[in-house]
Amino acid sequence: MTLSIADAGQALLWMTTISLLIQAIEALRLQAGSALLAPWPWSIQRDDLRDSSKLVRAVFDRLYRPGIHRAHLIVHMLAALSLPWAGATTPVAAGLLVSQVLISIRWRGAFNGGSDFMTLSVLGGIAIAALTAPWLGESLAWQAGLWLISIQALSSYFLSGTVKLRYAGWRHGRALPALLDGGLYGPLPPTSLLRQPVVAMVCSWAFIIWEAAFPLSMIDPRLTTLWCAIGIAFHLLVWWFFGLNRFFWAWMATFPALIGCATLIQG
Amino acid sequence: MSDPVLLILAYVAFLALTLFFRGRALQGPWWFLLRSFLPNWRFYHRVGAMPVMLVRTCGADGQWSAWQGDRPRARRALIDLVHNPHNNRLLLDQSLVEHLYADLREADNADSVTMLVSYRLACELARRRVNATTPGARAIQFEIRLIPPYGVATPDTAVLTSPVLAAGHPQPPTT
Repeated sequence: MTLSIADAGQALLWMTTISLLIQAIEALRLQAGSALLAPWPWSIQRDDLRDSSKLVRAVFDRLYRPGIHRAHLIVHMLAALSLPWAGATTPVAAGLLVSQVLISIRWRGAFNGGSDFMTLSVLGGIAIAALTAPWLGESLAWQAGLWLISIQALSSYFLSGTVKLRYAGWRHGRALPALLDGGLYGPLPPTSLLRQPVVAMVCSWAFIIWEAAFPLSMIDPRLTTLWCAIGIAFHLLVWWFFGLNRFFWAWMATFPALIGCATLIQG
Repeated sequence: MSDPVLLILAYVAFLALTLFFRGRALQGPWWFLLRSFLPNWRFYHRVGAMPVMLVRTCGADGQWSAWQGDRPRARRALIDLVHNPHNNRLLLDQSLVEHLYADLREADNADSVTMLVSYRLACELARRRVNATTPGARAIQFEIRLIPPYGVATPDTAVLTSPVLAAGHPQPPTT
């Protein structure tokens, strides 16, 4: 499969919209939920800003009032919805990036770890494309944006894979069932095949090799597409065991960029 | 060998080097709040000790319950793939416990612990959990215990036992 820069950009905007809508709808649901779901009290959390100026604290105090925060989330959703229809205009792209940061700060910097990192990377790439388009032209600006996203996605896979090689637990397959036992939907059933040491070791090495080899898949868009297809299965498994649904959508949003950049490399 | 392939190989080599050389950790309130800009991409790279929160309650009869709590658990449903607020909240609360554990390791003394945002939010979390499950409780106490790698949490793995806290109503989720 190959993707032109224009098609990759459009697919990226669609996937980003889906990812942002899922996150914002969840945030709205938490706001409207019981005390167990509601955000942490800002009256305590605001002490994270105790070293900031009075003005900064006053701005955040106002921004995180429940009514204003709810309105913020709705505007965030509308801006996300506009991406595939109206394209990534500078105000929307830059606004979404800033808005995403502000939403993260309400959760002390990250709501869901890596998915927040990747969502910001994707929005950063879109913002770069939108901001530089008037000077570089649409095509070159989108190449810059897509490459920024691709580099973050490739780094995430490569580092996540190779760092596991340093730990004997991963190399010998002992870590996989232990981590799956600790997952949100765990523990593994006692009869699970993944408890068999040989199966666990083969699966561990398959994931490590697939992750570590991701950058090399960029030499041919067909290979990148295959790696992304495996990625869909991989992220579904991560959700299946760990409940990390936001990771699935955040990384899916990077796949058009990866295939678009691989197409570019091939010429 | 073509230029793009060389570039990819150079990039991979650079990333590989970052596995062995780590700079000093950036610290400060704004670095913490803006950490989403500085990903480290090291997911589940090892089985480490996991801090968990356990809570016990004191009823009207003055009797304390057993310690209750474990790592977050939930039932899987297909809808969770697109809408998973409850379970993501459980994971977020676990992150809070992990941040508290990290703060405890850096705290200078016991007094400074009670001033920590993570500690005060943990008190709130404990209250909210008790109010949801044991509304009649008069007092509560929470403990942070470590689940050792490949092991289970036991009382001797406690790293923090809170003072007795009034169950009360948790603070409203507003400013």
